[in-house]
Amino acid sequence: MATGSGAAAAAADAEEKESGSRMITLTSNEGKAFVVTEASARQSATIRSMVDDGGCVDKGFPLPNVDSKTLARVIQYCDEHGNKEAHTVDERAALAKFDKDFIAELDADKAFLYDVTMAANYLHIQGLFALTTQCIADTIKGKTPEEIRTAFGIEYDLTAQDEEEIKEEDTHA
Amino acid sequence: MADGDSRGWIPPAAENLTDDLLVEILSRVPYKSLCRSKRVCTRWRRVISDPDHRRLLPRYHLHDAVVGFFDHRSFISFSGRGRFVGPSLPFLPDCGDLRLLDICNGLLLCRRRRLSDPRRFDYLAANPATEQWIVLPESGWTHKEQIARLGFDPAVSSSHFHVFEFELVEHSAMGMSGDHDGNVVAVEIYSSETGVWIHRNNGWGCIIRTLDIWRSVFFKGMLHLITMDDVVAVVDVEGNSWRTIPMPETFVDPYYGVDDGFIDVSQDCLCFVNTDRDDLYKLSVWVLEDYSSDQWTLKHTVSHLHLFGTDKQHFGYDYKVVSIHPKRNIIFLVSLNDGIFISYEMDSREVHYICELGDILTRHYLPYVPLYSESLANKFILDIAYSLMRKPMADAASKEARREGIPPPDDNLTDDLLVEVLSRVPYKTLCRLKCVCWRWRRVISHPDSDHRLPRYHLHGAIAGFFDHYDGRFADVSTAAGAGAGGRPLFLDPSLHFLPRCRALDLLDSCNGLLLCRCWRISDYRRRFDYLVVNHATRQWVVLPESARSDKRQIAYLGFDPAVSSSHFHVFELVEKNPANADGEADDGELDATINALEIYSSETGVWSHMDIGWGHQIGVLDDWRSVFFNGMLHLITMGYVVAVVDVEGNSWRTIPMPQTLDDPDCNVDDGFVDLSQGRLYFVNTDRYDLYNSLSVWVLQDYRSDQWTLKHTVSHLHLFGRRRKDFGHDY
Repeated sequence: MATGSGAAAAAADAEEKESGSRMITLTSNEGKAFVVTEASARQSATIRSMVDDGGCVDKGFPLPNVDSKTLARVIQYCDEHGNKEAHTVDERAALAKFDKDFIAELDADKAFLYDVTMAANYLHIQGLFALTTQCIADTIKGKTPEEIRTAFGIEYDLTAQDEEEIKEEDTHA
Repeated sequence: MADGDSRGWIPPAAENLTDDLLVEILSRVPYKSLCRSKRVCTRWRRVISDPDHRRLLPRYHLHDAVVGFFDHRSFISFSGRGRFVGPSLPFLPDCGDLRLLDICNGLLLCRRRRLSDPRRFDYLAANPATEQWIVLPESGWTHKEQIARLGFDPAVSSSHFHVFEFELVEHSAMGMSGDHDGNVVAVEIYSSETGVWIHRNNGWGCIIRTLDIWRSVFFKGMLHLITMDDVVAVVDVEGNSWRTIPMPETFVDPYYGVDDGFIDVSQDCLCFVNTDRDDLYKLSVWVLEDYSSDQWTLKHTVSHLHLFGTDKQHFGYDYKVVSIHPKRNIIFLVSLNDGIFISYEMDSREVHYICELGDILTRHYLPYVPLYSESLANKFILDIAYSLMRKPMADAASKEARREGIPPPDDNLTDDLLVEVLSRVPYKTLCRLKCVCWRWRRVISHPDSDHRLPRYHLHGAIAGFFDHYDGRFADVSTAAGAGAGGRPLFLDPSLHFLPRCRALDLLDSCNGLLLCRCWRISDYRRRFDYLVVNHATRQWVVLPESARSDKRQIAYLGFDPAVSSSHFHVFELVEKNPANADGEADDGELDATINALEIYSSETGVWSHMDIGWGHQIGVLDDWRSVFFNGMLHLITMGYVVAVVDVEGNSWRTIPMPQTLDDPDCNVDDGFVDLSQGRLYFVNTDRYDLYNSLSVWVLQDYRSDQWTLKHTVSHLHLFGRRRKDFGHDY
């Protein structure tokens, strides 16, 4: 991408390289500290804006809404996407493969998948958020309401009247 | 989720997902899955049905959304997949000439010529989703068409908008029907909050030229205009803040009169799309990641070859960018050469065909996503009628309710009772009562209530006219629109949400479903398809061929929502003597003796052929009445019987008509049959009193052939005079 956008992008690239060498500390709600590269941390728009605002880079960032297990997994994604180049076809393919494996592993543990989704939302990590929400959406695709309830551990609380109403609203339901 | 390792006490996982997250997830499932997901639990149902979420959910995604076509001969039409805004925006009041100027977050800005003085016009803001509209006060330029743009952001204020009118120095005196092309001297800005226009001189500090078909976008309370001067011109709603953002360097070929680019907002960033400067045959997308800077970042480039299968395409000339998805990396384009609407996903680099545009190809496409926010609608009504703008909505509405004599919301009042009460108020009042409380709104909006509430009462019901003059034209118009508060309902002659076809004949309507004959574009007047339509939900389905798709036959629809809300049957009567085999000659009424039936079941999806089982010949006319009752179709016939057949074609029956006088000289109808209060009714002239009275019989016992005379009324009483022939004069 950098090839086409001229001097501005090159400058931004240089800045990114420079800042990419800095290390940033993220702290989970259990107080566990994770040290990551700034390039990795910048995957999160929340952290990116805090860094750019000249916030507490040295003291680290407490993340009261994210537990250690979730944060570790989120960092795994950020490292891959933040530290690797994605300019050539091969590099992009490698990242796509990483995403695929990453999400396949998460999909096996739904509760954890939701945690990662919420963390991605909280931290504004767009790529990860799209990945996880799409994965959950795929779970819904083509399923009957009963199957969806099972898949999501939802209690059935609709009355017969509700069902009738929904049928009226939509013939696809 | 305080402790990631001990999950035993954590409630079922999906309950952790907030509504917002759920919407995010649901926005990624296909439409059908979304519909099914409503049945998962009450919370999911609420989330899916919430008007605030509709914009994000697939049903309202741009994939299904409406594309607006802007034609410079003052004609508007919308296409898409079964959407609902018609060429005339049917809910608007009568006006001579209406032009769509801009669409912004579901709100439309139109210019309406005055009927009294066609040289002057008014601006009109309208929300087609809620059928609300408002006429703006005069801007001071009512005699001269200027470029006008709409600024509306429901995230900031769901009830207020701004209109920008650009005062131009004209290059030539003509300028009435052509493109507007001139220097912007000043801007008039209207605020719906203050209700006044303010005047501001050009504060950009340079010459700004723009065209009225060029794209603008309203973002962060500022209007962004594509200009001829290699900048995006920006002005705020107050006219205090002026800014120009240099466009990314792109290739512009004046020879082709190409656009100067396309601008939109996606993922909260301003996006700019144009041909790549270095490569004429590539399309590039830039993003202004930092809104305060002038630094565009190249986000994506795609070759014309990849998009269209050919290189030789010129931006703005051979194809147009219509929109960028507000949340995803998807561009929507129209290929003017192929006449198709496509989407391109930047991430996967996939091109998807969306729909064909037929022969409506214009240069201006405005994307439209419905806005269902009722608060705007309510505000409109209250603004116009009661000037209660400053008062809290619910307060104002319940005050209104009391004034109309409706009891205030009461928990003891069941929904059914409430509907009964509401069915007795005028249509306009009913609309206002929607804002009384959440429950009332639900009750009023609920589909089950539809047919019991005034909007759908016969006062405002739809009458279909079958025009035999040209035999292939069906006109559906509203009867007694005045009874529904003077606002015509939304069905217009072309059933505008349907796909395009040469001509559409309305054949039958049964319990809210319409059966139409749709002549194929590709094979005009030779072949047609049957189309079953529910205009209330704007759903439609094309039936498979009946083997008779080349010849018009009498067809009837059988649909009973009480039995099955999703399945219907179509009965096609097969004529014995296909005397009018020539398609050109059979423009008149179909008058036939039938010897077989083709019955289509939407459940099985196939047509089945049945020879008639009535034991004798049955002749019918296609404008005669039929009624579907007890799963049987009842036909008025020429043989003095009501012919009955079931949906399976297994049960056949004839019911002799009550004794009536049929006068062939007058070409009268053979009576009228309908269903009321669970019984079959038959109406015809009284046998003993041909010109003077009308009688109504009822079949008390459906199994018997015994009609009971229920009522007789004189023509004198009905029409004020005696000499009336049934079916001929009325």
